[in-house]
Amino acid sequence: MKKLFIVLIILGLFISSLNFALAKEVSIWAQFYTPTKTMQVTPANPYPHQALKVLAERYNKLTGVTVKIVEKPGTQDDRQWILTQMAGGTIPDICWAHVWWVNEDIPKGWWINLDPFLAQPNPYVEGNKRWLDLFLEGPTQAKISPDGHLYVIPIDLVSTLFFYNKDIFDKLGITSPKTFAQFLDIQAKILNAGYVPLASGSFATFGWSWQQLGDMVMWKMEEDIRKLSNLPPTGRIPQEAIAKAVVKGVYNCYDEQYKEWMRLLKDWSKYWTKDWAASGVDFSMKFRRGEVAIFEDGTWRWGMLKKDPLVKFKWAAFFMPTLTKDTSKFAATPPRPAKAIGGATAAQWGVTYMAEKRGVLNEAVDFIRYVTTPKNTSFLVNEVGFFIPNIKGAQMNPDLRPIFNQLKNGGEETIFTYGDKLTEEYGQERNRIFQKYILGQIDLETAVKENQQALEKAAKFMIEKYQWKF
Amino acid sequence: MKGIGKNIWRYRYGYLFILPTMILLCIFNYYPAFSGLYHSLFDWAVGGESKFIGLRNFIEIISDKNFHASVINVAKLTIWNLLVPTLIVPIFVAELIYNLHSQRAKYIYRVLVITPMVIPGIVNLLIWQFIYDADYGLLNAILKSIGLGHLSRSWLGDPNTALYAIMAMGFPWIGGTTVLIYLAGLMNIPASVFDAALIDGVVGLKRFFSIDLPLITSQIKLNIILSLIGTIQGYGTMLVLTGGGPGTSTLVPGLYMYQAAFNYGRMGFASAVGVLLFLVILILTIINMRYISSPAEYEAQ
Repeated sequence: MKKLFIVLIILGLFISSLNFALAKEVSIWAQFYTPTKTMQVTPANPYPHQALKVLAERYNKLTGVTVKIVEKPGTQDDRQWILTQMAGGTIPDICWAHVWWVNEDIPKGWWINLDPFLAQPNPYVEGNKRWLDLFLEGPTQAKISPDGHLYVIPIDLVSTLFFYNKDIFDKLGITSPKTFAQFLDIQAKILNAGYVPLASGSFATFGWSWQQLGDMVMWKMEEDIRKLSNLPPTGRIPQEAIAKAVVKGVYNCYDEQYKEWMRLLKDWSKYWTKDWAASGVDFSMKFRRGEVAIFEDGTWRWGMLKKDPLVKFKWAAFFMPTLTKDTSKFAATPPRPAKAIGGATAAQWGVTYMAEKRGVLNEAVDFIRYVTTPKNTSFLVNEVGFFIPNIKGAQMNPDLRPIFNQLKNGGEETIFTYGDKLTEEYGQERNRIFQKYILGQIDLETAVKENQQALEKAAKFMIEKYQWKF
Repeated sequence: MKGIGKNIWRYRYGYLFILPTMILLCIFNYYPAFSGLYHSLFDWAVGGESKFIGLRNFIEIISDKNFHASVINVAKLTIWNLLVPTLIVPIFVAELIYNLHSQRAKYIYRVLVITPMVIPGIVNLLIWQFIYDADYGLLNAILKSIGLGHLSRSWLGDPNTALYAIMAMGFPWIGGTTVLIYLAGLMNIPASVFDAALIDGVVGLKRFFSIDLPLITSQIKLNIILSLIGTIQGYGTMLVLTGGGPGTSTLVPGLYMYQAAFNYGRMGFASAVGVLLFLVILILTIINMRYISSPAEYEAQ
């Protein structure tokens, strides 16, 4: 009897260790979607969310695969953390990353090309023949890397808007603008009334609306860039086409359109909050306290403002107004509306080389497939309501429907002036040059010359890196 | 050689005890430094292939306008930090505390000087950010209230004032450790020296320049070196408050190195900046050790 008992214990231990050895675990770092510790609303936890945790648990019950949700130290910069974890071999199997970071890492072999997986059906969606067909075409195309492959799965959409203090607008008898000329006009009225007209969540990193304005001024240059690389009139402009346009002199900072863009920005800057060039300022706080009349920020602000106890005024939002001939002779006829900033950026998940190394590549991809069913994506993305699902048939926050119509054809990837389109180093350098020009440290000619040099350097760097031949 | 080996063997337990420390020091302090020196000659991106490029990183740094701007900025910061928060103010405060008659008062002031050190640095930065706020900051409010509203501005957002605003942070520039080091130096001077000085009529400022100052030269040297290293390598304030801007008005070599390494992934280039910073600090330290001295300086026993 005693012997049998011992045999049973040994057998039990053997079976459980076998089970342990066979059980697969996939790790993920999901940036914003990392579940909060609790669902209790506190000042430190204003937007509790745990949808990813729920999905991970459901997935575990369905497949037996454990999904471990990794937390990044809050104080560490996202890119720094990814770089060090990648280099150290401790990066999670699935990892959120901006696609331009991924592009920089492609030669290192850190990210898995997901094209073969996207060409197969998603087994969690009945009747689906090709996983890629579940995603909205425009924003998804925008994520294609310079080598022509998709390395990230774009799950949701985000964009930018101008949020405004309706009480101030009503008091001054102004309404949200449709054209850029009207926009300048209402900012002048706000300034004269003693308010600070405009702040932006992106001032320090090159204003989002600056790029929208540039795109509307330089529509002719965009046409030339597209023609040079035989691109369709709308949609993504790949980095290769940008580099080619720089080398061939089509994308040229000395061009009058480019100079007009810079002049317009300088003229507009008189309505910006005085410390717009100080990177550490929390401009959202100024708006939330009612000190700034208009605040440019991401669609996430919509959800935040709704729950913000600081906000004691009525507010609404408008999209970047259209540039017309009233403001610039370079504006298109008929006027061309601004393109949307953003795109699929809040939940773009890549699969890292560690998934392959750990032998869980298929499981990692399978978990993303599970998340990207219309039902599960709706559940994940709409829990907090800051973003819009990038999956066809998924439900969306009705507040964000107007911006969705702008975004579905592609976001910032269709804007050729987007700062970090070539390299992040160029984006930062251009920001420095624009700041110096707008603040009067250098004149227009110097700014244009310095910018052209930086642009050519970035184009050369990319051409050498990817061995592009024109 | 045989003698050395014999000595090591004789004191083997002592060496054994310091061995873990030495190993950790080599791994975490010396290895990264030598790795940086080595990689400064490479086009090295983390996780990517390293390509030997000789001195190209150094040539690019030296010919980069942004680096020039950062060097000028750090030179201004270094001069300011050496003069005001390292020398003038802390020595003055240390003298005031040292010359208090009441031992209790001395103790209280020592505690008061050191207490601000317990406040996290980031809190200090955020307080100063509030003080400098362009629209609703304390400094502009004070200026407006005393009729100097025309002087109000965006202190951190104006390229003409941003660097000076950073210099002015930490007002009244009484660094706790710095003051304590000077105070320790003053307290180490034998009472007999002061008694003799008093008999000879050397009091007040004359005593300060003839006795106190020369006899705390070791402490001055130490504080200068610490301040030099801190200023030349430092970038935390700029990273949090200005990002080096507006333009390049608050860019410093440390931040330039940080951005190259972590924003652009150019580790070889960043290593080359680090090597240059190391050389500058080394040269300035040698100058400090060699040329700042006093005939009356006490030698360490």
